[in-house]
Amino acid sequence: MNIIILGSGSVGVHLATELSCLGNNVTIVDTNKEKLAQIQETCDVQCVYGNGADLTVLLKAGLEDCKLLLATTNNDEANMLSCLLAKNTGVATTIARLRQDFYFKGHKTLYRNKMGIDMIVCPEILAALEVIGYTKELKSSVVETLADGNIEVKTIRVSGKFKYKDYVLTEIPFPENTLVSGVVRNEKLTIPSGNYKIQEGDILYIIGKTEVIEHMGGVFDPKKEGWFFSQHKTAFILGGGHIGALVAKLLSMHEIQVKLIEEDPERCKQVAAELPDITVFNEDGTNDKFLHEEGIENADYFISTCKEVETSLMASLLAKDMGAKEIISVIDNDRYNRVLQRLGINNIVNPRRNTSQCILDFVRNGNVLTHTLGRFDDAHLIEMYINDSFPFQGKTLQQIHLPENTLVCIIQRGEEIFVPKGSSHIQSGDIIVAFTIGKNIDPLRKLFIGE
Amino acid sequence: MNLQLIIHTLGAYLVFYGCCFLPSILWGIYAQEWAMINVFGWITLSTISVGTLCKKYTKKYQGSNQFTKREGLFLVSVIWIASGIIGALPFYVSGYIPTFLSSLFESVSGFTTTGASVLSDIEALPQSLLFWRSLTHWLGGLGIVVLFILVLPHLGVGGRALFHSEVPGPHTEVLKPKIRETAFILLKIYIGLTVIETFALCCCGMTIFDSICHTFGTLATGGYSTKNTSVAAFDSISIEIVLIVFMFLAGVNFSLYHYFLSGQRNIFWKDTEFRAYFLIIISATTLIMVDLSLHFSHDILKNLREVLFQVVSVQTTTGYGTADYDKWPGFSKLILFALMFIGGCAGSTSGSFKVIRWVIVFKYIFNQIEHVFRPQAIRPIRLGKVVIEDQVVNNIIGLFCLWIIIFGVTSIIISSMGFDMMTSMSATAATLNSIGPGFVEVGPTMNFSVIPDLGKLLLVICMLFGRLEIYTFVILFHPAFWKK
Repeated sequence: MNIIILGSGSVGVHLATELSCLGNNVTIVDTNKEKLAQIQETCDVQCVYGNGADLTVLLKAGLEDCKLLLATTNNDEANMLSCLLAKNTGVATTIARLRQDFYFKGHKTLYRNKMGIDMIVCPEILAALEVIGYTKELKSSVVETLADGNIEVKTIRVSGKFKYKDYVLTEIPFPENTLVSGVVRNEKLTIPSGNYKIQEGDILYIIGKTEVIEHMGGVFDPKKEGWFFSQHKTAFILGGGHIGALVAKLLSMHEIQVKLIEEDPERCKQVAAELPDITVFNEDGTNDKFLHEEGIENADYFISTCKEVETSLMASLLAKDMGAKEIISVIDNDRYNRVLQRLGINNIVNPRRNTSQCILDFVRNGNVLTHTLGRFDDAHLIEMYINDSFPFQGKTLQQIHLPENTLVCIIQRGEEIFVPKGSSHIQSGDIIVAFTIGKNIDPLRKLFIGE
Repeated sequence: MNLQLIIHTLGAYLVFYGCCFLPSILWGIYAQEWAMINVFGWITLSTISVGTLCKKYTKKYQGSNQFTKREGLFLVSVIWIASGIIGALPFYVSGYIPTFLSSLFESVSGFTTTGASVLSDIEALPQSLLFWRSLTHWLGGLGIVVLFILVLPHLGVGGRALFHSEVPGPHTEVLKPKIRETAFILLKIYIGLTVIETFALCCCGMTIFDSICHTFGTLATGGYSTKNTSVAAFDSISIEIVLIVFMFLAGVNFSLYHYFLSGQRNIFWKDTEFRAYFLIIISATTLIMVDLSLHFSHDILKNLREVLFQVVSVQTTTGYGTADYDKWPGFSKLILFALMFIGGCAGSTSGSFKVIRWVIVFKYIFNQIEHVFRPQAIRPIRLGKVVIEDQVVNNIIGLFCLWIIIFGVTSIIISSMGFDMMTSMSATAATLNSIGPGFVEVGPTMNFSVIPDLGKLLLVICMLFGRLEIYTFVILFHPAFWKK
């Protein structure tokens, strides 16, 4: 496969190496001549000098018989433009890395259809989500966003005060077109049937349209329950950069008390203005007296997201020594991997590796995207784009024999998103989300994509 | 400063102002008060002709309506002073108020929607003059400059500077890109409420004249009545309910009505200021109710009726009375006194310090306390989701200090004229916060005629301070303002 990668930043180079090792022909385009020369010495890739948004440069890099274009430059708009150009000259798949978070607010379908971007990745968001993955026992959370942000999975913890405790699932008035796709009881995940009776302590995974899921509110909103005298977990976040702010936002949504420490006073003000529910401190994160005063001894999480890896590391060690229970470090660097284990820093998030992994998954699986559900490694949400080769055209869902422990949760057809019944059809052009426990991914792919 | 331009715009304003006498003249014809028509006619004529002359001799400045910030502020102050002086003429010329300073007090008290009177026998005044007295409320309520912007389309950019000088609030919401359209929306809401209230009062058995005058008094949160004993004279529970409702409505930010009418039905509960405003009224009523029931009168229903009316009346800075609250126990009186300093919401017609500023002041204090033991924490002050800029917060803290200083100094000067503590403090508070009646010698059954001339002048300045929220007016006393 011929692949063009725009931008020779860390993500670009990492991807180039990986993809080239997998036997692809990779061309890197960048405006930094020295960097290109350096890359050519270390990897088996072709380098082209020039601006990625310039069509002549792209043609020179072999756009015509290219199958995949990865735009990973620092400029979001240039990335989008390159993808648009590539799509219109016949490149099958385009992937763009975007940083600005307003590109991720539910417009992804628009980008997909009109801007010709098949996949949008943001290293910061991926890193933040992984950090969240390490923090356990979240009260309620958006576990996963699917179908380019149109579909969401959220958890509801059934507490003692939950109004519908001891109800059967079909009796609970969930909003229309949402589905309880999984229930966790005693650390065990099952797919419930309609007459499943829920109990205190259960965790429900609810899937549905993003707007509906976000605004469920009312009895389904755990924020309203027992806020008074309730025992909050506390988290310290070091660094108020993109990742830090995102993590803070997600954690505070989960009722965790967040203390964010940032050195730059201006950035402090910005973050404090953006996030009303957290406390922002303008202080050096390695100031032990300050950390002690703010009660690091009782902190449940210490998350360091500093730009400088060394500060991040030192702060993590300090916090661990002072008694923080769980340390999570975002380290954008492979250099220290061999000592990290020995130092006792186990939860490491590497944004660059995540991004590459995410892109490689997409390249490998194409129209089938799999998401692992929370901390259950064998539970997957599978997002599939149905095309003309779908073998069961015209048949109802009942007539398709799904593997065991598998549920087709939701179908997106154009703008419409609905929970299918047994009598529903699947058409080409649909995006379907299936939930499965166990090793059913490959059979499902064969069933729906029909290779 | 471009004096010629200011005189030119002032000329245009005087022509507009002259026209404001017309409703009173029409009412005079209807009530057949020929002597008053004579007075009003001459005043109208001279105002319009002076205005025309001013405009004519500064005509070359017509095109350049680019006010600087300084000119805009100056013009607003001048317009308010001129309005007060000319508005005093009908009282003075007709002879119903003997001295000019007393007439000025009555007129400025009208325009600033204070409602403090020097008249002991209001019912002796002819109807057309009473109508003018109430009309000054209505004109001043929404802001006379706002009305002026509406009738002068060619003000252009200058209008924006004027608008913000007169409606200074902590965050003046501009509803439409064009300031004239914003003013127009506010006016539509204002007129709409006026029509509804007049109709409602008529239905409750008031005469048309009384309902119009009382509507003007309520919606502008003024407080001029046509009766000597204010609203108590009607002794009708339905009238009181209508007045309570509309006083309350007049104290709400008018832009909320705009949002409500354009489809955001839950805008009221989402608004921090509205919630605080509502809660203050409820809790003040409850506190006073408890105090009165224990120490004053055991008739709970009568108490509720009087207390609710009085609390809403004082909080919205209207100043209508149904009860002589001066006889109430000290605790109740002090609560009312405290309410005087709170006022309604920003963007309403009420005066005083405004609920939103108190909210910000309290949040600021709270933050400062935390700052003592935790200097690293950064907490922006926010209202709902909106972060209030440090600049705005500082401005409010400055205003707060100015408010206290002016209140203190004026009270001391008034008391030096031989009044007791409560009289001098409440007289100052009632005028600075545009309430109207105070306590003891200026209480709800008394009036301000006991204050000597110098004191009246001082209180007139206080009223202007309060209405223009100090900064706009106080700059005239700052030396740097006059330097070139």
